[in-house]
Amino acid sequence: MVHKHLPGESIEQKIEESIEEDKFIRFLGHKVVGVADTLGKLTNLFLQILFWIGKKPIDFKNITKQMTEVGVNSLTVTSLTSLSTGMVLALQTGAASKNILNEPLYVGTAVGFAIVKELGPVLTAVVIAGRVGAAITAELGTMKVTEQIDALYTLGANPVKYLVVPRFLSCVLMVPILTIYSSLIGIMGGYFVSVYKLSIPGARYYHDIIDFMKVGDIMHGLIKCVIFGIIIALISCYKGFTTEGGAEGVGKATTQSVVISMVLILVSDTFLTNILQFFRIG
Amino acid sequence: MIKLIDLYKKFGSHPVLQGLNLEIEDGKTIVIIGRSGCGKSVTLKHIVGLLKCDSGSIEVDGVDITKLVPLELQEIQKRFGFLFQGAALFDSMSVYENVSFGLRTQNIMTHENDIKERVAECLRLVGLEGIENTMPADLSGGMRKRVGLARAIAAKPQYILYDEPTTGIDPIMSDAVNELILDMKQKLQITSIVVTHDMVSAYKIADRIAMMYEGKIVQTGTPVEIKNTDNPIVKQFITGSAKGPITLENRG
Ligand SMILES: Nc1ncnc2c1ncn2[C@@H]1O[C@H](COP(=O)(O)OP(=O)(O)OP(=O)(O)O)[C@@H](O)[C@H]1O
Ligand SMILES: [Mg+2]
Repeated sequence: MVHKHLPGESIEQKIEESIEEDKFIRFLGHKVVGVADTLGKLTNLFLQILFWIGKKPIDFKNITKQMTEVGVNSLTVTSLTSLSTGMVLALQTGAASKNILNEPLYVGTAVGFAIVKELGPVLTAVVIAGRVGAAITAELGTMKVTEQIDALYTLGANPVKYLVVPRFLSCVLMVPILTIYSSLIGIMGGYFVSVYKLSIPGARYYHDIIDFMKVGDIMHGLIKCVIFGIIIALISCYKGFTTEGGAEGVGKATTQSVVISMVLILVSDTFLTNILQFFRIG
Repeated sequence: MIKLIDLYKKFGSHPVLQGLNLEIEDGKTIVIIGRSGCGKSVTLKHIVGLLKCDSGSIEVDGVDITKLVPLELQEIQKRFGFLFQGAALFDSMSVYENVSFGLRTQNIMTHENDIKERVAECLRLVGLEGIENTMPADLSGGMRKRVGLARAIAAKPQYILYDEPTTGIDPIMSDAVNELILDMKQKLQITSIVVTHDMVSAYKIADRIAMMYEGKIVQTGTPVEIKNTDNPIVKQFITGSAKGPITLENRG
């Protein structure tokens, strides 16, 4: 704002101050409205997905392609993450209980529960958000800025049905499947450390897990995975569809998509754990 | 018949359409001319419902498409073919898949052989026989444009919207594209709306030419009427002079 200040003009200053305050309130208002607006649009996208999900013809070719992309191609990186997490968990709990109890006790229980209920779902989801979520946003974002999404409309294909539904389905199905797989790998990692480093008998490690783990605990982990899958698919598709501003815009949208998904996964995990415990699932 | 009535559109605080009126008769070719950035592409996108106007109405065969819900709009969109300014080819698909895309999604053809024939025919019309298996990334700019053209006409829509069909194409091929647009009108009674900066092409294909300036149509007329116009804005534009009422700072 270009403004001439004359000396001793206190009224003018007051007005200026009140404008400043007003600006601050406006700024806050903008943020609140912005968040509410985004939430509304995300809900809208979610409803559209639900609307199109069962509509024929079902695009098996595309769905298979996306499942391969999300599932098979993420195997290596999720295996590595969970293997080392399982090993490190065993090392730490082993060391801790040795310090306190002079003997590594219940290492299997600690590793098993931590992995099945928390680390398996969260780590897998975070890895998928980084790998697949980024790819989805970058691809859809590029399609948006090069008008390919507009082209879909003019050729009679609904972008939500054609692009979002296959990605949504593969995230929602593949995150749990990958989590089951990576949890097993993680538990195996813990087994190796327990047996070869901590000298716990293999049967003992196994029983420490099996004797305490219930179906509810496994459900607890799986329900989280499904929610995380929904978060990843929704955020990455939404960010892709709302990309603007050429190559730079695609880069920005991709980064935002990954950061938002990861934060949402970690934050929602706390809430989910509370809710699931309230309903006595695990 | 397409009628644009009193269209207004702003992007942020930047007004692009400011009371635009235009009528497009069936079976005719109308050419829209105007300076770069004046809102020609934006106008085309409004006609197919890709952009929503702030106020005004767009009638397609008597139906106001600004009032339709998405699923109804999707039905109307099937009457249109659209050539995008940047071609907008699906780059994860081959040329064949691109051109056949609309035939499949709109269930126009189901037999693979019919589809193959139609794709080959469309590619021949744009002078690109036998490139079915090429990926868009491996094509030149002009070739991409022509594949986009083939894709737009494949489903034989009632209306075809061309955003700069001859830009980036050599003069000989440009003339072939002009002939193609004329042909579609004569043989299939297709209504065409063409945005172009190429005045030679405009005079050749147009039944009517509409000049856009500052978010409005300032004059429409037959090519002869436009050539002999008294309107200083139109006159300056078609003769391509830097001197006149349109100055360089005046943006759309
Ligand atoms: N999605 C959008 N968001 C914001 N502004 C836009 C958007 N699309 C177009 N504009 C603005 O609208 C104006 C008109 O754009 P348009 O693409 O219609 O121009 P044009 O007449 O087709 O120009 P050209 O002949 O160069 O293709 C431009 O100033 C552009 O910046
Ligand atoms: Mg344009």
